[in-house]
Amino acid sequence: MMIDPDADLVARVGQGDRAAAAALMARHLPRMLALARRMLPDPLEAEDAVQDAFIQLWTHAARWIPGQAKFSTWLYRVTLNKCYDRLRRRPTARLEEAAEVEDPAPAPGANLDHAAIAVQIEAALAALPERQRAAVQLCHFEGCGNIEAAEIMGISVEALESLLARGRRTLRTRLEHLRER
Amino acid sequence: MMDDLDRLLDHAATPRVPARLERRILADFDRLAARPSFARVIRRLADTVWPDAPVWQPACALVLALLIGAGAAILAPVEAAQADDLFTTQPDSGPQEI
Repeated sequence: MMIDPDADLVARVGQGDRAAAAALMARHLPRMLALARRMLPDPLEAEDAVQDAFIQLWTHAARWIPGQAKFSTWLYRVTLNKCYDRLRRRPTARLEEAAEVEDPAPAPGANLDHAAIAVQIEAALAALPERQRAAVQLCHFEGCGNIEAAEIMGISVEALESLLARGRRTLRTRLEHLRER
Repeated sequence: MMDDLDRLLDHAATPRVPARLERRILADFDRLAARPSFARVIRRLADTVWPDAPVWQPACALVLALLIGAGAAILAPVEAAQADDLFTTQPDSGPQEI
């Protein structure tokens, strides 16, 4: 049986142990927030989504059964679903934002520093369809393997690989000018 | 395999976790922990009976004890009832002279 590094902390959280809750939060919050920030354009909304995911964790920790699933996979799936819920709730806002996505291509001759490159990468990522963005985020930025990322997204590994390939292809095209530097 | 797109993506910013978000999340935990919960009561009870064991172990022990008790209740009263019959009929029968 696989040993879940979070199992002990989750069990203690289920018993109302605040120190365990703080440790679990410190371990997962940065990656959960990174995922939510990439999925939701509004940083405050991303924080709310992560907070909602933690409320679900605090509520369910006492009923967590070790060995059924990897805890972190479940937690990132909850986070991703909270982000999807918020995206679903605001379809018109998404369209408005889509119109505001900056063209990542710089003006000819522009001298880009590191921060400007980061801004262009963020813009290119934000312009990806949400499922491709989630696939790139999980596999590249969160360091998940394809199997785990597919499990988090609730899709097959083949579907994940397809999303990832399309996302990377789009990013390559949009960031072509940066890759030549 | 690492290609130049991966290297490029590494330039993307990593968000910092605001302290206010940590406070909000822990405040949620405190609020929920203060609320009475049936699962937590069961967990505490199980810990009192059988410390550090998963809940299913004391639950199984309880079920086993109930089964043994029920089995004893089903089997034992037969003999007890027969004994009662013997006892209650004796006073009415009276001494018999042969």
